Amino acid sequence: MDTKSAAQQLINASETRHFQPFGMYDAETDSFHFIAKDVPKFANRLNPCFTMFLSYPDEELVGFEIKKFSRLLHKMRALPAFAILFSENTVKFATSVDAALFGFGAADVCNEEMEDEQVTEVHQLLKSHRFEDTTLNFNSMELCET
Amino acid sequence: MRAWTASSCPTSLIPVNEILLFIITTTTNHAELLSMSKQQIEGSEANPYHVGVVASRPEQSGMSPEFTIFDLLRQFPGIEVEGMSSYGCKIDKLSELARKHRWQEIYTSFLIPDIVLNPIGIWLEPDRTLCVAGFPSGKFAESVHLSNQMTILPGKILVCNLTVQGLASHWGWEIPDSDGTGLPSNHRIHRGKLIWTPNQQHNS
Repeated sequence: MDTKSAAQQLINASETRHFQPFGMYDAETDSFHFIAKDVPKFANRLNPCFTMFLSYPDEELVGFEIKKFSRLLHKMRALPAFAILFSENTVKFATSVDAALFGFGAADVCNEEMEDEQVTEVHQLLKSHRFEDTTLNFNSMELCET
Repeated sequence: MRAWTASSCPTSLIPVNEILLFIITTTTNHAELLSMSKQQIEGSEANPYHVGVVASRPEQSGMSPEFTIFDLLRQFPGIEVEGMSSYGCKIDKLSELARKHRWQEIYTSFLIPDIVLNPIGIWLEPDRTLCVAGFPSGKFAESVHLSNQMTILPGKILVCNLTVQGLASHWGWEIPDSDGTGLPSNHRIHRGKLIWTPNQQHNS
């Protein structure tokens, strides 16, 4: 656990740096966050596993959260159609995002009401921040440069 | 609801001392939350942001270490929710947000005391966390001189998950449901059991 003095050092050190888009797995909540901008934002939940973050007030897509992420990866690896997309330790991050977008990680297999526009928006977000070809190491749950 | 605007001050100039003040305060509250009593809650109107919080720790009060925030809800049927306005936030969580420069989420955490003080709904989630929703007033942020650093989103609901120890683990803004209840979007599907609203006492 971080101590208060460690937190102080961290915050002091952080003062001179700027926000960078990132993707991060949170083991405590089994969720994966992708955040592109540090702006006021609100959640727009598309399905039980996928939530978009929209900026306030202009409602631009600035990130998303995938819940039950490890379960999603497990389900994907168990199906041949997805399994072929996995290497020994990695899978394309965008592939897991697509699976989550269509509710694959949820109890109901597929969200047929998913708007093409929303899928396109998410793809565009990844592309504009150069994450479209990023891979995910599903052992460490960290994104890797390609 | 008052609308606030984000400060023109760059986020890199976040007042470090205020953040640490918050960390220290909430860490203390975490240990103290468990030793609340009804009498202390009723007599604590003078300090609305530490309502019901007393100095003694659980082991000193003779209360079981397993005593949780859920016990609080059960102990006080029809409780005014001011009685559970204390909360904490993990240092690890704030450190992680700072590490990633997610200042907006840190700023938003200063609004959590407002909704815990005056929630519009409390849910018991399947993972045994409490989900608290409300419209923050910004009063707590004013008290720590950070009210010019954050944005209160008009028409949106701030939702926060609290662990059984009363620690804020996750928070964010959501849109109201279209069902007219004023509760967060899809609360009937995506939230656990609704155990408290201002107008109705639910079975916990």
